[in-house]
Amino acid sequence: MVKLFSARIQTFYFRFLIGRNKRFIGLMTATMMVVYPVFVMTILSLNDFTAPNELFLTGRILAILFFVFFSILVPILMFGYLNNKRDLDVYFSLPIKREQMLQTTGWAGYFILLIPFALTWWTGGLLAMIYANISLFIIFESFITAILIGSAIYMVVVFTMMNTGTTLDAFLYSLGVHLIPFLAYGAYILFGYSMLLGFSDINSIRILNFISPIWAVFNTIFATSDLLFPPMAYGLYWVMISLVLCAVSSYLYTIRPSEKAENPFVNKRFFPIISTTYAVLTLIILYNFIYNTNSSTNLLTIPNLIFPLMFAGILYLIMDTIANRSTKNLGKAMLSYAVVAAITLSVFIPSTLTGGFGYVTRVPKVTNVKSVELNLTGSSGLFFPTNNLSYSYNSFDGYTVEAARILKALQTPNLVFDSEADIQAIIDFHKIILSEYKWVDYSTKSYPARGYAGDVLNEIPGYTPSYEPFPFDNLDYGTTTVTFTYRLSDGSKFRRTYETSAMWAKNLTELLASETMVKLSAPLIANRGLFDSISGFKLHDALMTNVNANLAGFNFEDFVSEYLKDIETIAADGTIEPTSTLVAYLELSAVKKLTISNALTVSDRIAIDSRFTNTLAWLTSKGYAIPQARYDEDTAVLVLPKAATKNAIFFIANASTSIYSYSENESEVVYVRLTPEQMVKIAPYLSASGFSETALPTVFTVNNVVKGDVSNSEAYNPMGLMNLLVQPQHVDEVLAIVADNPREIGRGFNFFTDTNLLSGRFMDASGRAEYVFEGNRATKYYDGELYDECEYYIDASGNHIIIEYRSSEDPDTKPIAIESALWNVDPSGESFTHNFLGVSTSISFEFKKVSE
Amino acid sequence: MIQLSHVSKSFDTKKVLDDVNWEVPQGSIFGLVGPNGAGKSTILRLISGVLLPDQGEITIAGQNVYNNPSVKKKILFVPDDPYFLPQTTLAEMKKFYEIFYPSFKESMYRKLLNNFPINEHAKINTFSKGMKRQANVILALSILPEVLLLDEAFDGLDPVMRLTLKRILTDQLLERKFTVVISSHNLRELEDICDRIALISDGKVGLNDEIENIRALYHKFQVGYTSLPEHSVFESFNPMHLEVRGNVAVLVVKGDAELLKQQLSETQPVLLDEIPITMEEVFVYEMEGKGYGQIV
Repeated sequence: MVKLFSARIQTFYFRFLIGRNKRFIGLMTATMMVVYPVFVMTILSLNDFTAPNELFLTGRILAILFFVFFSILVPILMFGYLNNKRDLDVYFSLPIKREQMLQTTGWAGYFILLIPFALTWWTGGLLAMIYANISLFIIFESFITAILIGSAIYMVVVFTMMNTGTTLDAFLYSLGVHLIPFLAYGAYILFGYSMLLGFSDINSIRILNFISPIWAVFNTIFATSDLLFPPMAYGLYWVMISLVLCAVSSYLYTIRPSEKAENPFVNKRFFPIISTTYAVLTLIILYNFIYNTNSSTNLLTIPNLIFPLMFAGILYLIMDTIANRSTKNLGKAMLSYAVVAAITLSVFIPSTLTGGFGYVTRVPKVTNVKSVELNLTGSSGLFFPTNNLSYSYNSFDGYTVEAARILKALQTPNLVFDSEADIQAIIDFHKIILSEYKWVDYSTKSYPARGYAGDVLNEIPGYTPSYEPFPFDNLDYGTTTVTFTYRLSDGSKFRRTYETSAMWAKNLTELLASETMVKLSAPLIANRGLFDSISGFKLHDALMTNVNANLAGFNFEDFVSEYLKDIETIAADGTIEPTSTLVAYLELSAVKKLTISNALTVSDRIAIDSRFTNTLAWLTSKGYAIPQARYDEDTAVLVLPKAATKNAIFFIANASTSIYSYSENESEVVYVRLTPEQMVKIAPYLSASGFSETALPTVFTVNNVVKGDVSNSEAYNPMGLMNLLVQPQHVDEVLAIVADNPREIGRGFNFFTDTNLLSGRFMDASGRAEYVFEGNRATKYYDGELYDECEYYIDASGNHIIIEYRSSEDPDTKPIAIESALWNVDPSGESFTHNFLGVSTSISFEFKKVSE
Repeated sequence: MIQLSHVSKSFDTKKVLDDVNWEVPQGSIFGLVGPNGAGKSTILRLISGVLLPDQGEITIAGQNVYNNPSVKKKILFVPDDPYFLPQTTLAEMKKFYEIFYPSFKESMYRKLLNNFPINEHAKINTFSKGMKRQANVILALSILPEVLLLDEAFDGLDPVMRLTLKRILTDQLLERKFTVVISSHNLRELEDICDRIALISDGKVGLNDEIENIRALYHKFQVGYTSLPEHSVFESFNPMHLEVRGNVAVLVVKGDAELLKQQLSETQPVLLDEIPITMEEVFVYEMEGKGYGQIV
């Protein structure tokens, strides 16, 4: 190592090499210029591009691609003399220390590589600054990162050349060495997912940044939102690796026997390491691949073993043949492979049979856990509180990585629990998951969490659930991927991921009152540090019918301080039943500047209920009045639970919208329309949070039924359905208020007349008349020609479709046969089966002529 | 000045040099001969630092050669298959060598260029084999090395060029003192220019002496008889080579010339002449004695 740093570059020879490769430098420069700045400017000049940023991004990717390619090619050219005995007679007899020769040639090669890359990158970068508003810092940072990491790509090839003796082998094995990290990662992932229940690869792909310089150079430049550290930190890491490789290469160069030139390998240990690595990884990858392609859960079937063993063996023998340029060594190679395969399987198979030597069944003790983080993806079915976020930014202009990072923190936050009670509840849930999976031998292929009421598990003789069931059943289809990340007392981390049935998660209702869960409804409070400014404060009444925008001098930090105090109190109290009254919403907007011309704006509504005593007192003390509600006709309904209802909307307030799938046994809901006067009386008895063991009446309002609207400008308003539960202690009072209201029966949640349900095409038996329903329009075609524009609406029962047509010449009064994915018609043509989520009902059509 | 001490070198399983001890005095012109695969080129590559010995040490003026630029800048190795940078000219190769050899002399280069019909700006890969050799020699001699190692230097050169090369070498040797080691199969050429010869075979250096001493040691006699004596008579002289045609025998023997003549006279020949023996014959007869080249 000392020699490495003391060896100086022979400057005259360095200059000589640069001079000799002038034309090659020119060729590389031209190549990279064409694929980046020239290509980009050509497209820009020909088209009216509104997204130049995307074009420059494409150009940068291509530039890096060629940079990587040349990083492999250039050292092979520079050190090509090592592969020719005749060349070595001159080079090794020159009066220059071998270490110095290596340094000089190596640096010259990298310089030859850097010149075209720098010219290309900065030419393109300047244009990007002008045409796409990309900042100078980004261009500079990515340039430095690329050249630092590129040194490692280059040095891997140099190291390989120190071990090989021909240009072909140098090239092949350079690619081979660069490929190994991907194979290793693939083997790791495949093995984990195939064999280890609970295996979690969240963020594990980040490890590729540390084992593959080719991956790192792309990831650190183009996917910075995934990075744990700044990009240049990865550059420095790879420079350290380069230095190590340089030191090793220097040593190998010094002792390189010139007589071995023109032989495939100079270092006899190199090939066995590579070939063994490939054989082992291929065996593991193929074994897991074959295992996954069949439904059997038996690990040791012959078909599982034969193909991987044979394929890996053939690969090994082919590599040996190429290495020796002869098949004479095949017998010895077969023996070597047999040993490699035997050792691999002797480790691999016991590890799978034992569930990764206890990996699968391990659950930490609560006393060893400092905190646990829950991460949910695809939270279909789980009852955790949702938020009221909406956001907008321009994704085609400027730097959106930061926006993505912020939105991820807001929308899929990490739920961290550190109280012993909460941790215990989560550990219990973890154990329930393992208990359920135990019935299928912890197989990763049996999917016991999916299906209705655990289809797979119910078919197992003797199966008894280990979880306490919910009082409702329409979470049966709900599955969520849950990741537990335990931070243990010894500082280590322990992570598992499972596909979980929502029906298993009843014990997690204990968490509903925890600080973490309550904060879930107010992500802008939990993440306020991510934004440059928070403003636009408005107070709404509980049902969003009125607003007070006059909140002059509103100090958000003071508000947050009181809000957090209240959260502490709520958590200490631990009540999860919906006994609190929804009082108000605080609306606010947060802004994060992304570039000069682009900003991320996030809006939220923070619910304030009667538990937030400090917060309410603070609002009052500051004179910020909660506006009086203004109710209109036909803007609210009270949905009444039937006896023994199993529908989740009566048990959970303001939960994930996905739970509003129909219960298997309930296709209809009974509801009453509330008058404004009734709303005034009922509002104080409504709760927006909580879980009840018994069914409670629930209120929907038109303000809380807003469809999502996703546009190309990335503005997203995801507010869905939100139900307000009647507090259990006030149910009788509320029922008394609505005692005389007519009960209506509805299907789905189309309580309000502007909700559309139908879509589809309906053809009559003659095949001549066709009705096309879309939105609230029905278009009639006759013999393929547009005939009549009708309007239709569905009455409150959801069963009766009234089609209003205008044409006096319309001969048809009703469709007789229907072709539609939504509807099936019975032979009489009188009733129709609606296939909406498998529920059958009767439908009738009425044709009503209106004036033209 | 050049010293090989207990040097051994193997290539895979084949031992090419086995505990070789050899010294090349400073200022000598040493010819290195031996059968194919004897290790002549290996020795030159070891001396020039291209190869690392498996055992032993190679020094020049007491300094180890391997990876030692201060020693290597005094050495120039001219291999049998000359190497030039791809797509290069003699002028560019000159620049290449000037980087590494501070002793490179422009005037010598120009002088040598005048002696050979070579265009220094033409691409060397268009040259014939002989012209490439010439180019190599020009570069080598322009460096003014203290140790010049020539591997099969004369091969591929036409007679005129061989003569020219010899003359240039001789002129240089007259101008300055430097050591030359030449390996060749062409003993005739070596005879003219070398003052010492070493014979390598079976991984060892055998015959190793000044040419004059060798000439003084090896003698070829032609002996004629009226009646040829018994074969054992000739065997008693321990000849390296014996050829009998009719009543005339030709012997090659080692030893003192006068004593041998006297001993041969005692066999009653009618004719006794000492015929001049060439180094080539010495080499051939020495190798025949070791069984090399015999048809089975």
